[in-house]
Amino acid sequence: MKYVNLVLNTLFDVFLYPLGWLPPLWGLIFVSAVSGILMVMIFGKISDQEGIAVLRKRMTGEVLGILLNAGTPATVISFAARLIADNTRYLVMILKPMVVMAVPFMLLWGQLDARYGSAGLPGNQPVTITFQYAEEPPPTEENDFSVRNGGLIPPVMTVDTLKQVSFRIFSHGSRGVEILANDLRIPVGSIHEWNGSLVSRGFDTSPSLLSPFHPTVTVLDAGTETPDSGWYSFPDVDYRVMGWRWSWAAVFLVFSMAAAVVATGVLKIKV
Amino acid sequence: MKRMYSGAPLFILFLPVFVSVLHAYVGPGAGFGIVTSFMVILNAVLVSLLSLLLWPLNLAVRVLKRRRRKRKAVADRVVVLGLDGFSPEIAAELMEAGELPNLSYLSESGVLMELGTTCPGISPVAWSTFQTGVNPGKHGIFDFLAPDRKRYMALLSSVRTARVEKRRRFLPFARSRTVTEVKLLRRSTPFWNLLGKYGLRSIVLRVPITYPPEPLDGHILSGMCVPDLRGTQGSYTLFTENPPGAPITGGLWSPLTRSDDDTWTSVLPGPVDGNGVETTVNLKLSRSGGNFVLSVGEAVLTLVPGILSHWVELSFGNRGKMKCITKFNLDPGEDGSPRLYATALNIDPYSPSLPISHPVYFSKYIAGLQGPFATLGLAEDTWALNNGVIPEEIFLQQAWSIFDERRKMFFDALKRNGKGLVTCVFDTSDRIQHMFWSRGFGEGTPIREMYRKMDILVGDTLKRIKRNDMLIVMSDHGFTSFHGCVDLNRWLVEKGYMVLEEGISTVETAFKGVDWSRTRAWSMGLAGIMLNLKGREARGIVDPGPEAEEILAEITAGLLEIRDESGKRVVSSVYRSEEVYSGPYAEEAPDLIVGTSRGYRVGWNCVTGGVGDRVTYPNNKHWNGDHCHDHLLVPGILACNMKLADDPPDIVDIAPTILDALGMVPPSYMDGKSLLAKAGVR
Repeated sequence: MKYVNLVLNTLFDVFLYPLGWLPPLWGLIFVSAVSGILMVMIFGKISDQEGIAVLRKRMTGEVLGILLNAGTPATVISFAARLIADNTRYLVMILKPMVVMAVPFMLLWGQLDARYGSAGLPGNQPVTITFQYAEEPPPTEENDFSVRNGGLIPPVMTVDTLKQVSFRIFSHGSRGVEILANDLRIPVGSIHEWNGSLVSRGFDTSPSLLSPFHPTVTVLDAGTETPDSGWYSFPDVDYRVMGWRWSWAAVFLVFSMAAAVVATGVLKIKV
Repeated sequence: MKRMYSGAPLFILFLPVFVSVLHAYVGPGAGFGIVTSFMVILNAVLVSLLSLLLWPLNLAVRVLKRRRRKRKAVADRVVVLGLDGFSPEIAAELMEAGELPNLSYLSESGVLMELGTTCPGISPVAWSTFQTGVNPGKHGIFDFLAPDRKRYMALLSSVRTARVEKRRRFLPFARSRTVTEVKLLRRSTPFWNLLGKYGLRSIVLRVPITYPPEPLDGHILSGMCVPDLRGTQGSYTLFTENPPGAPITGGLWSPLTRSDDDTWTSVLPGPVDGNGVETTVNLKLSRSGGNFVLSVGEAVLTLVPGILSHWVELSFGNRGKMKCITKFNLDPGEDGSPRLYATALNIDPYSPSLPISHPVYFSKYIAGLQGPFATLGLAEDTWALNNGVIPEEIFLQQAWSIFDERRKMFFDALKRNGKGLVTCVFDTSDRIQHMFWSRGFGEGTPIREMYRKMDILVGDTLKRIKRNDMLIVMSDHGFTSFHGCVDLNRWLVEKGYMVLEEGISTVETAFKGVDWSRTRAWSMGLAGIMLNLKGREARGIVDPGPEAEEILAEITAGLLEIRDESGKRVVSSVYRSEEVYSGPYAEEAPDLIVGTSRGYRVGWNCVTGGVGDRVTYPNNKHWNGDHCHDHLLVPGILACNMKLADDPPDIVDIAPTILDALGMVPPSYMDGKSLLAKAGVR
């Protein structure tokens, strides 16, 4: 998975490179619009367009049947039943494209979440990091931590019952600063060192496609004191759109669907 | 469906609210699928609930609004199965041979008899009388064509289409806009409109002369006289590399340009847009093995020689707003040069550019449930067969596919409307007899096959009706042969009633070359002769009164003396309009209605104002059966599952009979009488 992510990250890096000069919102809108159009095109290619068109028309006929026979309850119910049955057929019909599209969508979702989901460590705002141990956490000292462009806010908390160690870090500067891979050096216990990237929210010892930038936990000397996993929570980034604060997912969904609506009209794809 | 799917943008607006539940979202395509699917269920449930909740209110309003029926109904529902041109003579012979068991059953359990038709026995006249219960003098339809007495032109008798300036109702100061106004010229009131006043719902399918559709309590799908997208009464398109030798009647020619050995391109001419520019759709034909692949508009289809394609949806105009459906047929050609045929551009029933139903979405409802269907008034392409553009098999495929479409909508209507009226007219019987009459109706002929299929239709209908239903199977007229033409204008010229300008001996059409200052009579349409009357015609020279009477008497006597080479009379009757018509519009009728003998009909060019070089001549066209003769020679048929009066019924009696059967007193203006009352059913 690590290598798959490496390839995907590189591909997305290359694809998104030209957008690097744009404010994140515009980059996100662009990516959303393009992905919306592409997904609709994929849907058009792999779905039974003729079948969908026929079914859509039949369902329209059934809705109109309800309107035309509003004074006859039995007919209304019969048309409503037919409509629901055809709706089920429609869902079955789009199942195949949904399954096929799930793969690119999953990749895209993970990448966008990683790239646009958080603003990194905000200036002078602390973020909490937690490590989970399999066994009792080793004793840790505050002086063992170092954060490039930032620092540690004492104390380091150890919760023996949960087998967790938590601490807070901050970045220097007034604006949000991305703390990238290798920025954070945290000795875990007395003999282990952990390297990681902190551009994502939450991490695990094994990265997944949905969390492509999960830090790789480098265990220099595996032992009982090695953390099993760890997580942190950077604040979500908000985007200002039409005076409202939108999450990256909302921006993506709205703009990808808006682009898709236009694409379905222009490309005459039945969805 | 647009309406249903228009929920998607609304949903998008609210997406930010639902972000937390969007993990199931898999891309916009499938996302729409899920969203719209959800909307459909919501829609179905809400509309059904609303409908059920409002039903008592709806029922109460209907009960309060409807008039009280003054008689006890003898039927809960009347089902009228109209078989255009179904001949009682042929039916009797085939029943005798045991080939029409369902009609025989009706004959035994109810009645089956001849039904008098109108004068003349032409579909628009007869079906107008059927629906209104009045003679043509009260509904104003006397022929397919009506004379424009100011311009000496032929106009369609039932519809007037005009471009009119309209002010915006809510924006009186805004610039007015030009719109196309379509007006139905049939007057009086169809009996189904009267049923609505008594709370009885009607479903009326493809009854001639119902375009544009009038509002009623129920649904109506217009029939004969619905135009195609080009605004004509049906014009096919022929695509060939070389131009046809002569102008083609009823169609257009579009050149096929060869791109390489196996590829041709062309354009399909469409309607004229709002700027007066003819719209087109590009077309590419490629040979692929034994078949041809046709790309037209956005459609790609494989054409198999000898098989008419399925309906193809096309859009014309800049924004593709003018939508139509058409079918294609391909003849590969012996010389390697294909002949491609496209049917008339039928108005797309799913997105109609013109009002072809009431409510307007009724055609969409039918198209949604059963797929596209022919909407053109005269949908079977008789001109294409007449001109040899399509072979007989293709014509028959077309005719029977239209029949199948009609049957589906008829049976759906029977299912949906349990009380009131269901009426459907099938034209296949008329078209097949027009085009195959000379073959007779022996074993294996298209006409015999058609009579059998119509009998099966009657049987299928009988299975679908209930005990208290009244089934009426009827035709508007019968049929007879049309092997010879009589050119009434030529006869008028020869007898000196019509005078052509100096140096002109024949007229192709529209009376071009007629000297109106010396013409006393003119003929136009399938049976009419008009005097060039002072004060009525633009350049009339005949004084009303004695002079007019004298000329009419002379013409009548003269027409009855026309004989063919064998000495047989060509004209068997001539009626003065006042003899056969009464009512406020009787004055609009031709002065004389000419009834030709069996075998003869008014000549092709004469109908539209042409003058040929002979009074009688053979009819060499494929269209060799007809009913535009002396109306007494071509009665229709009437069969019913209830006993009716056995004195000769007439088509004008059908409307009062239906009203009577449903418990209403027929209005006094109706000319017909209830056959129930006569039969003593009451």
